[in-house]
Amino acid sequence: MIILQIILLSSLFTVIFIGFHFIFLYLFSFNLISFKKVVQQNIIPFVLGNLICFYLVKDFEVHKLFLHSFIINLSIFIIYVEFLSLLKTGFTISIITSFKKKQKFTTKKLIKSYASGKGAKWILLDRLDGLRQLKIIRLNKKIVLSQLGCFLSIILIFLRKIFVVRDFG
Amino acid sequence: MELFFKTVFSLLIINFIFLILNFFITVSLKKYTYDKFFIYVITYFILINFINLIYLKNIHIFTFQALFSVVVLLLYSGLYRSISVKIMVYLYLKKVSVDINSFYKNEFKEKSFNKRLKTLIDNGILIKKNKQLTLSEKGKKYLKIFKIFQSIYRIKVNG
Repeated sequence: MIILQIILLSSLFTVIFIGFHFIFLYLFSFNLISFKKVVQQNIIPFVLGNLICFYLVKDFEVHKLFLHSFIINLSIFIIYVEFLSLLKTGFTISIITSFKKKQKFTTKKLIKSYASGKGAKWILLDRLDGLRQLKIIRLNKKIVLSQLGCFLSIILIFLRKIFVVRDFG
Repeated sequence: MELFFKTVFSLLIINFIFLILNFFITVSLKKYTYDKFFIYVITYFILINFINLIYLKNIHIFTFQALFSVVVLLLYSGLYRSISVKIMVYLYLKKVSVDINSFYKNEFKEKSFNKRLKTLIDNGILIKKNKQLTLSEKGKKYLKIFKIFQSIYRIKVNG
């Protein structure tokens, strides 16, 4: 019964949260530009969603479950942001959307037409630029890991060992 | 306070068992992809909450396990598929600076782009005929769905 109440409370949050996100997206012309922007654009609706949810239930017995519901809300937030970032920056999705319904490509032509004609090399340069901005790599004609990059790489390798990730997808 | 320690201890044990089981599944399966990991996480989550509902009756385990499952899925997808992670791990293991063009040709094009094309062909989303790639009926359906979502979220260029 408690689980159902938490799910109900989180469902209410989801409706408010997504509603606010769309209001921000359409009324304030927030376009999805990067992952960082996606997070920023979702944090305000997330906070507002939680506050409204708490305000609506504060006089009822259910308000005791709000902390539990908040953790579920946080999970919903992570899933939603990940979904948006996948739509925006998904590599495989971008391969599919490079096609038009009846279009045919050779692999070479697809590499050139990838991401609305930007080409496959663009995605690599885009990611490299992102890493450079975060000071993880230094970039000239060659790519070099910075000290921060080395430290983060060790953590990533360690996490890959913990989760037994052997290959790259 | 006792409940707090009990919950933390239970969560630690549950998640430790999760990692141990994951190790054995990885070792026993020939190819462990993200899809299989996803199924494992969901199954484990349902199983733990089933046990929790019958024996432990601890609501904290339900909520924190939900958060843990989501974070683990997110983390795994990054470690498994992210290009940035691949670049960082590759550079660290090489220990020397790498030329962008050679990285693009040897690592990115071959091991990321072509690998994803192969996965799309294997999953029946793309069809390869006489070196020409086209979308299958399933692929066209996916394209339609992605286009709808991208127009809803006002995404003009992706990648």
